[in-house]
Amino acid sequence: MLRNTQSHVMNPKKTFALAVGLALFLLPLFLDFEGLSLMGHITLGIFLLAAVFWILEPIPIYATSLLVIFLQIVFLSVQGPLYQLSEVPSATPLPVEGEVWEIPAAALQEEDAVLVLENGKQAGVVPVTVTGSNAETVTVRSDELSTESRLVIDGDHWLLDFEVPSYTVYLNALANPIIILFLGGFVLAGAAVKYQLDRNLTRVILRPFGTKPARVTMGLMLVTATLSAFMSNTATTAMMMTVIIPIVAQLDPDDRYRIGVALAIPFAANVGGIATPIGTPPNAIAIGALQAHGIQIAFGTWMMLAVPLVVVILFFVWWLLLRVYPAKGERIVLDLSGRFNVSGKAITLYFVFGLTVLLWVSEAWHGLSSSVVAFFPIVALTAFRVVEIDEIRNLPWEVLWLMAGGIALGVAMQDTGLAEWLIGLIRWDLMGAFVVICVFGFVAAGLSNFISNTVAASLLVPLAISLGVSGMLADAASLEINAIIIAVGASLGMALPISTPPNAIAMSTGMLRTPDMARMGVIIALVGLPVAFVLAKFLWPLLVGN
Amino acid sequence: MCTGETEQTQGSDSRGHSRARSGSREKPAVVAEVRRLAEASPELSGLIQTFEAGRPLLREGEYRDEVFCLLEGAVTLYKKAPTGGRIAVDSIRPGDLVGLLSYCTGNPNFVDAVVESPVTALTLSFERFGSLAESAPELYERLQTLIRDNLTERYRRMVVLHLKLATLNATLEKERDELRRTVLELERTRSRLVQQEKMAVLGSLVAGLAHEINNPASAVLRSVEYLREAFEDVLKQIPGEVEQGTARRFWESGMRAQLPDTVTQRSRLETLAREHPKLPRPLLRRLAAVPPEVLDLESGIETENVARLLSVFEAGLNLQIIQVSSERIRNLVVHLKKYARPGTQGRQRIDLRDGIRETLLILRAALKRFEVELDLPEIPGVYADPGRLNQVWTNLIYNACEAMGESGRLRIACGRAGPCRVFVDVRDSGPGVNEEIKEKIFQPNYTTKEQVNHFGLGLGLSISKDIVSDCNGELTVRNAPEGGAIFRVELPAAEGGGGEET
Amino acid sequence: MEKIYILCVDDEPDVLRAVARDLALLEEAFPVETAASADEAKALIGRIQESRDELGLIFCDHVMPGQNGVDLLIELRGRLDLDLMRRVLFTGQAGHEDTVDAINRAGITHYVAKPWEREELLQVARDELTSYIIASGRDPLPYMRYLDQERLAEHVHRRNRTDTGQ
Repeated sequence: MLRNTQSHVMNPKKTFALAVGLALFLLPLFLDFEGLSLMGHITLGIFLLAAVFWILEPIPIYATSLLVIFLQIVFLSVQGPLYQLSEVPSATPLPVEGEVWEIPAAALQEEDAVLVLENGKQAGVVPVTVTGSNAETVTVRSDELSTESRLVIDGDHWLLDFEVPSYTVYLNALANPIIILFLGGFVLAGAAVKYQLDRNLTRVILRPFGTKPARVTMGLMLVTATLSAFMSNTATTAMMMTVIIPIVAQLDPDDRYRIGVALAIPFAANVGGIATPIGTPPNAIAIGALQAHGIQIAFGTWMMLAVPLVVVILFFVWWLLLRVYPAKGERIVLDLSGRFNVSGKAITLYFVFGLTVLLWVSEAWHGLSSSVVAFFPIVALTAFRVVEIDEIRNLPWEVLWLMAGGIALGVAMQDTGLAEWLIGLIRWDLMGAFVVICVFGFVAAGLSNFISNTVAASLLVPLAISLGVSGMLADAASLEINAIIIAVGASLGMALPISTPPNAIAMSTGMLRTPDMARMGVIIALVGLPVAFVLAKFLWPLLVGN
Repeated sequence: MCTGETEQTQGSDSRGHSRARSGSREKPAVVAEVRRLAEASPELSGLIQTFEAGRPLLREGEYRDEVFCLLEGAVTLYKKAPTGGRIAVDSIRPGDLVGLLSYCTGNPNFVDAVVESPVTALTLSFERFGSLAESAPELYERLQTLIRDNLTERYRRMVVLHLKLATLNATLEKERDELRRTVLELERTRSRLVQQEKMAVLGSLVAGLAHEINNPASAVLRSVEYLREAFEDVLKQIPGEVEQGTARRFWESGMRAQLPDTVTQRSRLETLAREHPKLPRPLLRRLAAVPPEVLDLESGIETENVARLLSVFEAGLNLQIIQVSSERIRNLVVHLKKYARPGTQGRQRIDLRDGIRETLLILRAALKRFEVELDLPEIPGVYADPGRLNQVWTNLIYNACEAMGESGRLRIACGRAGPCRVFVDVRDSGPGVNEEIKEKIFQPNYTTKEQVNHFGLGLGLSISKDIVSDCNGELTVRNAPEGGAIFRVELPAAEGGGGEET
Repeated sequence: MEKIYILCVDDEPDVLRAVARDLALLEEAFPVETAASADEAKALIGRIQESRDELGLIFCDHVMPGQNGVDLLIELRGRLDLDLMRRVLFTGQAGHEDTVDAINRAGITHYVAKPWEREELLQVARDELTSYIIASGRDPLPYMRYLDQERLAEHVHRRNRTDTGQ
């Protein structure tokens, strides 16, 4: 009922969000910020629009991502109409005699140079010698001018300010290596779901954990975290829910253990996502942005950074949940019946899955980047029809688009100098590198409680990277560490049902109430983030940077 | 074959008498002469042969080029019957000839000829027989006479045979009709008996069941009373005069309330939803059953209070529903008992309309899809067995439903058909009754539909007609001018006029 | 998000009242409507669609005055806009032929014999609505606590997405 009424007053809210987004998009065009190019202004408009749309969701968040790419192509690319339809105002020199020309005074850019347009949009510098001048015109001597030459009158024109790129720069985001890495992960996960590999692994892993409630919780969390490191957190949570729903149904309704176990699954899934680059999209945003700066983070390197953190947080969550929601009974019985699929296709899948993971974690030895490796399962599984057209259609393509939008936005913010300008607004140098890391971590976690983790990362990572590039911070590794801490922080924002899809799934079963989730989520973030900061201070610099 | 004559002179049929007499009288004399002539002739005397009894003269299907003229004894002719065995077809006496047909046509023997009693016969080969006219003209002449006599006799007997055959056929036909009628009558009696037995079983079953149902139903009704008193006591203990009054109002309203139809319920629900957007829909739906005037008096009731008062209202409503439903059960049992009376109680003076109403109640579920229109004014009573008449109503109504198919209009009317006759019309809006089948419709086992009797109570229109006839009444069918069939039951009114008895 | 209605059609007011009461547990997510005849049901379906809501489940009595339940369901089956709707036939007395007809031509998805038990009715409604949610491709999360959680979780697992994004 409550849900229904909410959804029906949704429309005015959507309209409001649309209006605010559009207003904020136009606002920078009417303002003139010192030190920011016109293209920077437009990018700021796109950034604000994306932020409002991503946060308030008047349109789906993946649609906002596509809108970002579209707006960039329209306003910021050579192929876009803005560029195509604009020209730099120009004038032609009047011949006086021989190599002496009379030109408008505004055309003289410096004391001894004019800009000559080559194609209406770009100009080359031509040196001249001024021979005389009056109020509006000057006479100059140059052997490179002709009656055909078009002299730039407005030297500060936006077209000359910024080298407008081809639209391929933005479109590339859609097939960015990290996107391909994710696609590989999706195909593997899709096949795993199809052949119930995930379910069967769950059975096998859970068996040794026995029937004591504490050990069962540990087993469930371990399985969930492991699977969600390689599969989507959402799919993992949903699968694990089908495992625990029968258990919970057996329990006494007053047994608080049911709340604990219902929280353990989504939390473990969220945390487990941190463990690998393909675990969750914020990781991809960070890695993608770093790649744009020529910094490669290998699959194995990421795991070395993240796995210790994940293990510590998981252990803490386990301890916390058992303490707050102790079990009444002594025995929890899981239904672990089932058999591995042994058809030819399933065997192929097991082989491809194992080999791919092996190649991913061993990048340091063979040097093949994880994106290249990711192509192997895509090709192999489709070629052997392990994954068929239905599963391919069923892949979460919109997640790829969502990430592409974030990556494209980062690229534009970087290229147009917006990121740098935004960073310049705050006196970071007063804070010191460690404080900066803490700030990013908390902001990322706080923000991603309310908005999509991917979106939070998309908004924050470009800023963090600019900060690193700007050289305002002394620490050399801070560029990478800033990006990673944001990805980690985004995954730790899980205090509300709307924070992540795993939370939403757990909540929707009605096994727990929002205060349970909020209390535990906040405690976990407050403990987990400092652990991450400590690792960022002492462990991570050893693994990344120079 | 020219058979000899079987009837001797003295035994001939009176009808062929005058014509056959002249030849027959001479026959023994002619035979004596033939014998005499043959014995006199040296060539022929050797041809007089004797045959002992049982000896075959001719065999059917074989050739034997001899003709025998019987002088003494008897021969029987047999023909193979198509069904196997052989039948004696004729008996040959002195003066008759055997083998003549074979001689005339050249075909094999037509029959077997077996000696019955020792025979003396003049045996002539075909060759000798052919030349007899020249060789023994006197004998030849005598033989000619014998042959002519033979033919005449044969013709006479054929005519007699035809006559006999015709008489026989007529008798047979008559007997067959008789048999058919008897079988029909038997069938009718049987089904009537089966029906009566069925009704008797049903009747005693229902009587027993009714007792079993009535006891708990009565207990429920009594408990409703006690519960009501108990609840009213509880209401009295509610503190606060205003609160008590309000609760009492909800309680009483619940005991009286009629469930509004769905359209009214929906509009009330929508109004309530607008006025109290916070309340959950299931609660609002329950509230919509409360009459608005009861709710209005309490404008501004708090949510918590609403739920409590609603429970009070619903306690009343549910108690009312229990009461109404158990009364309905008891009523149904009473009607069922009347409908299916145990055994035949014999005739009594009854009001036809009671039976019709009971039947309609029993068939309520089946009649749901039809419009039912009743026009049952006061009519005189009749003398009849009420249980059996209910069968008639069931059959007629059920028949009408079948004719109408999925939907239609059933009209039942009664009235006076004459000074001392009453009628009941059962009319449907089906296709009507075809002229051709109007006659057959009342025959047992006649049907235009698959024989599915959903109730197992009726055995069709023939039974109905019988039952009505037993009451000195008539069951007829005609088509209504605007379509559909009308089945009319007409019964003599009981003496003493109509109306005063119930 | 449009509402998904449950529609009950029966000519007996007592039955309607009882069904609506039995389904009250689901009504927080699936509003229940009642109609006393086939015609009223059709008018209601029109109204529900006008307000851009959906009809997810219909409980239909078999024997009713006017158009009977099976015929109503047959008629509704021809409508593309009600393609996914689950159909339950409610019956006190049914011949074999009617049953065959109901399954073959009316496309019923479940059969409930009167009298029914509340738990049984709720279970049927839950199962049918779960199938409806899965077939409709809606986000199952808002309905999860009312319906068959295991089936819906399995559906999310296979489909690997919820409307919350990511």
